[in-house]
Amino acid sequence: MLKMTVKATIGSRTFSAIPPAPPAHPKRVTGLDLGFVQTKFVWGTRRPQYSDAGIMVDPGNTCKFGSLVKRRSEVATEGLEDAEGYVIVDEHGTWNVGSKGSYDFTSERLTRDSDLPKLYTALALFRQQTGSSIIDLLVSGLPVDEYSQYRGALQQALTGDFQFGFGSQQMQISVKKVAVIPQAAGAFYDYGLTDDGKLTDSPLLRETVLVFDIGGKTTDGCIMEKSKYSQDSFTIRQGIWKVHNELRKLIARHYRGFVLAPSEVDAVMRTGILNIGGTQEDVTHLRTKALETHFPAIRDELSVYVDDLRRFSAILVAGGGAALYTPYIQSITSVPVIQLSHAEYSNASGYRKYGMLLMGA
Amino acid sequence: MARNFVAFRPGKKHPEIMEDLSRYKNQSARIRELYLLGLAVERGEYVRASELPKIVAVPATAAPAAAPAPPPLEPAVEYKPPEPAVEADDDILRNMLAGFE
Repeated sequence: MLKMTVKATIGSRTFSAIPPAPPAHPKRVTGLDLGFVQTKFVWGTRRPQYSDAGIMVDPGNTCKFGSLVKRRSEVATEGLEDAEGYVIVDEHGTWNVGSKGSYDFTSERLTRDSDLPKLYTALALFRQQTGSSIIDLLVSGLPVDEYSQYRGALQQALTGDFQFGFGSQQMQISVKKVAVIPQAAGAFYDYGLTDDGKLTDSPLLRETVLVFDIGGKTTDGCIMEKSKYSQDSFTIRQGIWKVHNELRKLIARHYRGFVLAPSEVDAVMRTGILNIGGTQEDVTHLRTKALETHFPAIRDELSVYVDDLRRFSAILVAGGGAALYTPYIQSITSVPVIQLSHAEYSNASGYRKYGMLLMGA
Repeated sequence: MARNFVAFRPGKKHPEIMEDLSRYKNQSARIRELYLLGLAVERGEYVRASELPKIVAVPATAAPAAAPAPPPLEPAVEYKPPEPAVEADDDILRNMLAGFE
């Protein structure tokens, strides 16, 4: 049997040790963010890496795909057979998963047949990349105002043994245990915990902070007092998706009726570039206008829940809308506004870290 | 009074003003002085006594009201807010695990 020996020298003394063997059954802890626009799933510490051109060169221990689920028959009808996405086959039919965005508003998650393929796609990508068919703990989240009502249903929907087809492969994956927490709390744990669920040395963990998670459909305001979740936390029914729609309207007006597909608006929001008629148009001014049109609604609703932002030591901004809206939030307060790194993944990543904390507790 | 007034603009004696001032010899010297000096400073010039507003007579013995002391520009001792009790890591972890309902 081969044993690896590690030697270390400190001054004149040399130490040697046999590194501990990895555990035979390492715990699989994952974070699942069932976003309105995109679904994010995180099971490790490696963040996705992008090239200078913005192309993902390493997915890390994560996956991300559009949250739109459609029956395969509908996709065929619309001539979108070659559309980007994944094919899921389950007892309810054949589904196409992966386009970005949906107009299908619902407060319930994973309680309908057409929601489950999102979970299956996330599990399948996990299985493909890790080779593991067992998840020991999966942590997910709900908006603050849905948490009490739907937590049990989501927990139940996510737990169990799942069998489905992923393209041509048959999958069987088991989720042993599930925890559900308020969404923006996940972003706070991403900030406050290390990858293995230990405390970071941030002084803000001992202060009162507002975590502002700007998602597709909702914006969660999570108040953490010395890292304790406050019942004053709230949900604003405004999200980046309304900005998307405003941008589509402005583009249609500016380019004489040009209709930007819902699945393409996310890319235009990020880059500020619109491909039209074979040319690239700079539409950053329209994007700014869309943001400025929508921001007062967020600001006004925020003022309903928070009298004075100065009660917070800092505001942490997360979610898909963080990059675009952080300067606007900073414009209304003197409190430091911090955009979390990898803000788009911060919920999913924080769910996982919270899971690591639970496992270690 | 005259001595004080002239001292306020050193080197500049103004016989016309001195004459005006002499008309107020029955008023409290202190009041006349304050009015004249105040107006002169405000306008950046001497004014004739005839242009002055009517002076309300006050008993010569009345002591001028004591003006409240202005707040110090800088506190004598730097204010330090009380330091909050530092939470131990265990307390923070307990808070994190306290649940959401």
